[in-house]
Amino acid sequence: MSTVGRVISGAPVARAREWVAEWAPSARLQVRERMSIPTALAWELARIFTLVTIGVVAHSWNLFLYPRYQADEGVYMSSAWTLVHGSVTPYTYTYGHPPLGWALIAAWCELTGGFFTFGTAINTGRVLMVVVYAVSAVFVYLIALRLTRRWQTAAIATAFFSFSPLSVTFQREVLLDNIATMWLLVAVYLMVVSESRLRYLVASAAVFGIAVLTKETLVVVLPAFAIAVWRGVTPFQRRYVTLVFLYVSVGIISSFVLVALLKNEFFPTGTLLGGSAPHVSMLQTFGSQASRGGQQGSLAEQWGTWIGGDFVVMLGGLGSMLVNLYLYRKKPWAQGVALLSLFYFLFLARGGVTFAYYIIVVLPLFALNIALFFDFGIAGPMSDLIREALPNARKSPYLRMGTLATLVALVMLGVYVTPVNHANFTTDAVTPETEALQWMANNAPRSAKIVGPHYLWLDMRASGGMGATVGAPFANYEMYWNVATDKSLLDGVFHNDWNIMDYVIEDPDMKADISSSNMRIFAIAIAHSKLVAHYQNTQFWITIYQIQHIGVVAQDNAARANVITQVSSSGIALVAPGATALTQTTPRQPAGGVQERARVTASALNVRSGPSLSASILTRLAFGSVVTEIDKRGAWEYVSTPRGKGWVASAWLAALD
Amino acid sequence: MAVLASLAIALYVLIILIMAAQSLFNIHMRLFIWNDPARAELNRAPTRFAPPRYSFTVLLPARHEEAVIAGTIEQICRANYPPELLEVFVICDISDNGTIEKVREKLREPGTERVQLIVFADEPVNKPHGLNKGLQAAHNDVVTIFDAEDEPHADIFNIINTTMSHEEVEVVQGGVRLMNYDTYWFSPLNVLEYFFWFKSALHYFGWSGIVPLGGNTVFVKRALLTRLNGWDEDCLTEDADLGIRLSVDGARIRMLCDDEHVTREETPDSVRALVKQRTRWHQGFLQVFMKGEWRTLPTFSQRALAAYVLTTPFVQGLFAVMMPISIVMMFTMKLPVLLAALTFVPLYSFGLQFLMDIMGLFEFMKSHDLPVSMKATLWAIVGYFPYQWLLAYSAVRAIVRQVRNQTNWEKTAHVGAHKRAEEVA
Repeated sequence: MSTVGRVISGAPVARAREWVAEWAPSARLQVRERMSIPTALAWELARIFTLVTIGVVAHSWNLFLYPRYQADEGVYMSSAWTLVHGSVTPYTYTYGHPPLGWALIAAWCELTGGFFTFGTAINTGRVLMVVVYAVSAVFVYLIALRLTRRWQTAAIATAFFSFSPLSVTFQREVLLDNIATMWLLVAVYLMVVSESRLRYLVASAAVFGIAVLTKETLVVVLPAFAIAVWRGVTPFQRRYVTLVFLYVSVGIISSFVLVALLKNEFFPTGTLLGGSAPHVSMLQTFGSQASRGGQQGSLAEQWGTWIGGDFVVMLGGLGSMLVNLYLYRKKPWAQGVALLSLFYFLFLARGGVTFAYYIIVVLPLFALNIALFFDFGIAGPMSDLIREALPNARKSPYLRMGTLATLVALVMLGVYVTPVNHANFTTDAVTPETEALQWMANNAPRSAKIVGPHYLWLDMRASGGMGATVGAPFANYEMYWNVATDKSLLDGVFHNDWNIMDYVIEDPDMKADISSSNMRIFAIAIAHSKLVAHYQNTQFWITIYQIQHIGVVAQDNAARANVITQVSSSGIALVAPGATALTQTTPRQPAGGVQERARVTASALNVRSGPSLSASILTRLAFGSVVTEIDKRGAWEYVSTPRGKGWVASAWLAALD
Repeated sequence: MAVLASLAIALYVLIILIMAAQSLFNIHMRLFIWNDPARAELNRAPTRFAPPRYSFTVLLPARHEEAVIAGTIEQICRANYPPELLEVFVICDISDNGTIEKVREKLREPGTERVQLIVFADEPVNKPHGLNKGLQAAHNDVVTIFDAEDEPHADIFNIINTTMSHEEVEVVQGGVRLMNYDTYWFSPLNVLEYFFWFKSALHYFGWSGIVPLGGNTVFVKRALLTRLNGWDEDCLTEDADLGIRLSVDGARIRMLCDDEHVTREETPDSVRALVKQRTRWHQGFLQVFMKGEWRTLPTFSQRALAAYVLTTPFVQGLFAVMMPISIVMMFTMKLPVLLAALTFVPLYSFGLQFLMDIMGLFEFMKSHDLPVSMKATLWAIVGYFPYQWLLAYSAVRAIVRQVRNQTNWEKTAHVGAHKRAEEVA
């Protein structure tokens, strides 16, 4: 490993040396240890390449099947698509997030041959997320390398960042947080390599501005940057450099507000500066976002999820962050990494809404903190011990430490990380979604007015999408949340009438929202509908309902005859009333509320996804709940309940009338 | 009509973009010294002096300076440097009886043996002509200029001698600083211009190899100066002109602006005087630009920078006038949103310049142990745009005078405002 470099001279070589000295501090260290620069650099690149390649494999393995498609992923993919087609979001843009994140997604899709290059739109986005992960991982490595000048520390940081099951899960999802975190890491890198030079810090501030314009919540770490810059630069430059850093980042961030001001969409309607014409308002959006309480998720609640996902990174990161604030008090850039995590963590702890994926920003910071603590708190003292014990050791104590660190990393990878990542690598949570898309593509008329989950929107609406594989796209597919909350959509398109909808596609999230957010229009629509397809596996289910329009019973016979028993191709569970059942129940369809109602006589009655004890439990009814009977098969009743439809054992039902 | 409108918009956006670029470049020059920790050394005067090696000739051109000239002579004579290595020429024109009288009176005192009075009677009666007279009489290795109202530091010759002994340089430009930061409304802003110019911007020029030198505290090897035929007597800013010619000649120029050793000066005593002084500078820059020697600079970027520096006053003047107009237009003109947002870039960079000014003012007060003046701070804020407009007005005046071929020297009076505090104390 230690080859003495050959004698090199000449201007290009001198320039190369300078370049290496600038960009490869570890190589510079190795030079002192009598390794030639090209060799040292090659080793460095080999280490980064190996680590990140393993990380990319871990992130890609089962990428299109786990985790399940999230509503937000659908929203950002859809927004990227509408951005290409001339509007910022599919629906009215209310300044919820700045658009740089989905601008990047749009650019990626344009560069890689469209939005459906990898199957569904979300798959295409997820491939970008793997690229984003790879870039982030390289920067985690470089940051740690620059801060400690030891590749071992950098490798530890990168390993934690890459292989934590939280990372593998969340970094796959098409989320603004992932993109913003990549920019944040670039900004941190530019800061730690700045060596107090202003041009690097200006670049860092600009990239940080881009991070905030990707995900606005990152603005909370601005004070941490300011403190680190103030402490990190020379006293001679301190004031001007800190001023410029703050001005550049705030200036770039403020462009978001500026655009709203210019469009007269900053102040709310009805205020002095907002005027009286109705329009969206950035202030209003900020206000409602800030006042979102913890009911959609609090730190306490998510903490459990995170600890369950990876207690090593969570507890280790939190602990080392606190210790590093003190340990690195004389190394402001390294302390800055601890400060960044501290400020973001304080933001999570503020008591407002905290979503599970908020951990995305924390993960690289915690990984870096763990590595920094290891470097200063463990490896340093240990190499001192080795030096004392073996005063004549010919090998550098750092090399011993390095071997040890590598061992620790390997043990960590092998013993801890692989089993806990099991779900990431093997679970299928996506097939029901894609099957539902295919069913729609094959069976639904293109003019149908459809309401359903966000993640199906783009594949239904855009030609080339999976929902439009056979024939034209669906021009009238709408996201259910927007239908329920956007007045112009609810009143303008649907006239607040369930009877205008032709299909409702429901998944567990939508079902929860229908009951918790009182989206009555969907509940009524589903009550007046017929289940035409249901896909389910152990992870997820999705149901397609066709609305039975009042007064048009005979309509759409072809589609009705087409209803068949669907077996999810993942083969985990099966569902759905058969075609025969449907013809029997036709007279009992809810045209005018002629079904029979029944009361639950058990203390708790399971509502199942199929007429079998082995079918999964969708919900549970309390004693006395009233249900409406729709269908019957043997000892099972297919009923409509206030909490959705499903199969119950008829033995525990008593007719009301 | 629509074509005309979109052409107008395109022109407007173009102007806005140039404004932004100019303003950002200005910020870059002002921040140059703080760019890199290594540059902190550039302004650090040596603390251990080399043994005296170079001899100095001090040129002290004076015109109607009877109020301050004696004090300045006294100050120079008290410098910590072997007297035999110094010679001082006070240069007056023959009609200036008052100043000549004061100088003669002063020269009768002991300790002024190295000082001589040069009186000239020929045309033109201006500073470069006087300087050339002094240069003809000079014997020493290094020629330097002080103005009659200056307060050079006692160690300045030691510092320059050390710098020239240690570094291979032929020219050293020392720092000049206006001190009366709260006398007039325009004082703080005027003070700040000098502060940033000498502390940072000149280093940028030195780094680029093209330096418009200041009018005093500039030290040039006599041989070099003689070879370049001294100063241009037809130029209103003979200092900047000399700087350009030295740059063209490839002279090695060193800037040194140490807070403690700067030469202290005062602002003009009225808006009128300020406008006159600026008119002269702007007109002088215009003359240097038209002389075209800068076109023989070796690299394109040097030529571009020279052209930029020499025309800056006019561009800046235009923008100072444009700024309020564009602010109004920003909020009234209906542009596509992204284009409209783009027009805010100059405003943003003006904002940063403004904050840097305020910070510079505090740093100035701190570095000279001056009391923090709320009055000065307030004037720096309130007077920001009026001051820019004054400079713009001077630029227009300069062009008019140049077109009318009025090339005489409108001089500023000096009352020693910056010395008052000391005298009271």
